[in-house]
Amino acid sequence: MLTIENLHKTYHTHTVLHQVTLELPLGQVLAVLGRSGCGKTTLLKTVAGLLVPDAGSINWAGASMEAAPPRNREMVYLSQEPLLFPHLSVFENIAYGLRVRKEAEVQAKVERMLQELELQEHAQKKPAQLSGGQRQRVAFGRAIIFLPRVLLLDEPFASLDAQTRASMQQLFLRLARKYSITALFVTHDVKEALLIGDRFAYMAAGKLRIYTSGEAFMEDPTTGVRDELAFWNSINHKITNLP
Amino acid sequence: MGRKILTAILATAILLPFLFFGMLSVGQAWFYPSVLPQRFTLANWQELLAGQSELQVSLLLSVILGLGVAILSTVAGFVISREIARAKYKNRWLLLAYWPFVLSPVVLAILVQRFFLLTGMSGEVIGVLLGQLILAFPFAVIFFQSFWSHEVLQLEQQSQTLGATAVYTLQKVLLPLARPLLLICFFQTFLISWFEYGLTQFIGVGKVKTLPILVFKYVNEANSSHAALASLLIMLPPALLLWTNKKFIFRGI
Amino acid sequence: MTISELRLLSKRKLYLRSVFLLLAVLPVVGGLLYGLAYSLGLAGALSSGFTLQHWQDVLASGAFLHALAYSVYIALSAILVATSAALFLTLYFKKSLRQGAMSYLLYLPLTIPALVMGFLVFQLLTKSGLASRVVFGLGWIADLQDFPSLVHDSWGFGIILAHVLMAVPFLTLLFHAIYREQNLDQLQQVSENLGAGQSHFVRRIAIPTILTTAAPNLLLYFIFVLGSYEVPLLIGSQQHQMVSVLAVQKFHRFNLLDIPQGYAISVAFTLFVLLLLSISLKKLQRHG
Repeated sequence: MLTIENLHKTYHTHTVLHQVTLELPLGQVLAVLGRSGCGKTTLLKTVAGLLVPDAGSINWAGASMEAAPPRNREMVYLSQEPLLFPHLSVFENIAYGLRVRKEAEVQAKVERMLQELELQEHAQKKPAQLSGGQRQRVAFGRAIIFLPRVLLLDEPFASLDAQTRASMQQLFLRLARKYSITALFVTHDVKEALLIGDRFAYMAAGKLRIYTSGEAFMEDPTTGVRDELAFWNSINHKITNLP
Repeated sequence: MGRKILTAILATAILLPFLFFGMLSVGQAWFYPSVLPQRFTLANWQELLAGQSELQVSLLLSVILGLGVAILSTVAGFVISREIARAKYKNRWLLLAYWPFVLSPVVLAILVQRFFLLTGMSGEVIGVLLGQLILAFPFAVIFFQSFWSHEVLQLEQQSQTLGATAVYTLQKVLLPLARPLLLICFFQTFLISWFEYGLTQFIGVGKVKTLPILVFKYVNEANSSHAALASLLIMLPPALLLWTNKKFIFRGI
Repeated sequence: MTISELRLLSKRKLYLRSVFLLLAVLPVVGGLLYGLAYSLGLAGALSSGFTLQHWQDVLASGAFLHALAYSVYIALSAILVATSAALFLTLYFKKSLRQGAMSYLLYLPLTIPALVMGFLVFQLLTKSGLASRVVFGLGWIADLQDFPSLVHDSWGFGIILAHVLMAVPFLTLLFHAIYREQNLDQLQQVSENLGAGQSHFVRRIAIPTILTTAAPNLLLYFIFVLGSYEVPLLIGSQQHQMVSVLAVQKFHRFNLLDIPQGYAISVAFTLFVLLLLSISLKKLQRHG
């Protein structure tokens, strides 16, 4: 279980993380809804160990992560850009985490992952030869292949077109179940949050609010779920009332 | 038509130095007013092959100095430019790096000569190496600034969160990505050393005889055929490098 | 991150930054301070306490100011001529610079260092040089004394020519790179689409774009010519010296009293260059 308590971070006088506290049990996905600038990237990077918090604690299975450098945390940060290593092939990009750990059966594991991602025929291509969606899939496979403790996803599908985005969401759900992934999934898209999350949170101005249930998340007017529903209802109303 | 004539004139003008120096280096008895020398001989060039001749020693010395300056300034420049690129007051640091770069090398040599005299490095190869490093190293630091982009920083972080150590990241990500730039920087800093005259003369006090020093010496002795030969020895290696990659000589912007 | 790791990190930071300061900053700053001390009588073999005498000598004799003015004249002329020629070549040979023999040939002159260029211009233009022989062969002159003095002349024709010959290929390649980087071909289509003719595009769009983008490089090149040493050493005139040559000469005269003056000239010139650099970079940044 990932436990975060009273995480605090300021830049100059600007507070980016304000006493952020959360608990995330194994195998669950916490969907965090938030607009850009709400502090979500700082939160994820701090959990990954790429930023140092001013105060607060991050624990994994009861052990403090404070002393662990990013490479030992096994909490992989995934951003909107796939950030593939441009000089390595698709195969080598996916194999990276395994090679770093000197794991056995790299070939077999990567081939299985390529199949999972439907990227078999692109194995030897360079990232520049792939489409945006394919690149994001490689980044995703690269992150989960060594079964990290937590995935930290920072609007991973935001730059994809609607169709690719939908298929990526399905892929994520399938793999999340199969590998029982524990993840913090940040998005500004209400529908994506509802689709992907097991639990829900809303983040604004550095403050994180956790909801006890999906219903509570949908009820809260600040999340904008109700506006979204109202919009579709009004469209529906319009269509059904057409002469 | 006009364009073709102009192209021909330009091409001739560009090739003229090579042909002219080639002719001078093999010519003997070039008396006024004849355009061509009266006799041709390969004697000067053969001197190059003869062991311990002045030209051979000087060529070797220039190569060693150039390699030393290139390796040291490229490696140090790469590592330290990363630190500067990530520094809080990056532009102030960079402005400092421009100083030795814009100063006339010989004026810089005047200002630092006392240090070399005191440490006994004046007139020594090591002194000239260090002096040329003062020119080449800031160049390398400025040169590598373009490499340490936000994207490279993110790739570095990505490698870290995937579990790689700093050394592994350097070996598998940073160095392969920087390879083309490392090569260009290597050759350009080599050329800084290879072409340098004023500072070499002042710190080497005429004892460290690199090829440019030799050219000047021959010119002073009115030995134009040797001066032309030494000039060609300076010009030909970078000209050959051009075949491999134009960017080794000029990178654009 | 643990405290010990933080400490390790800042230690490495400190270490790397000191190498930078030691290699890049200390030589200039330390050299400047030493040169200043020497020229003020505070250091060196002849030091006899603080005095402004050496600075007064340097400024009163007019040698330094004269050399500085002459250097500015040479650098300005060379840059003006070279920039015009390079602009012409870039725009006239737009296509052949991109591919073909010319795209390779233009790099060749970059393999000629200043010293060799000085020697080349000397061999070409001195009274018994190649040009004189060709002109003699054509019957245009009857004696080598009829050939005009083009090197060691007081107008600095030889020096300017040598610098122009070095600068034109460099600037042409630079301008050509800018032309491509700034997508001027596309801008030309836009300009034509809006009804502008070729010459209007060249005058109003192409040349201003190239010059403003290249301004920092032109400034650096100007400073480079300003401090040039090898070329004026080989083919400069006796009466007019450029600053670098004057400064070095003070050290080679074996008159110990000249050395503080040599330092004063070097310090003054360094300060002049640094001032010029910081003022113009600020201006360029504001406009760029």
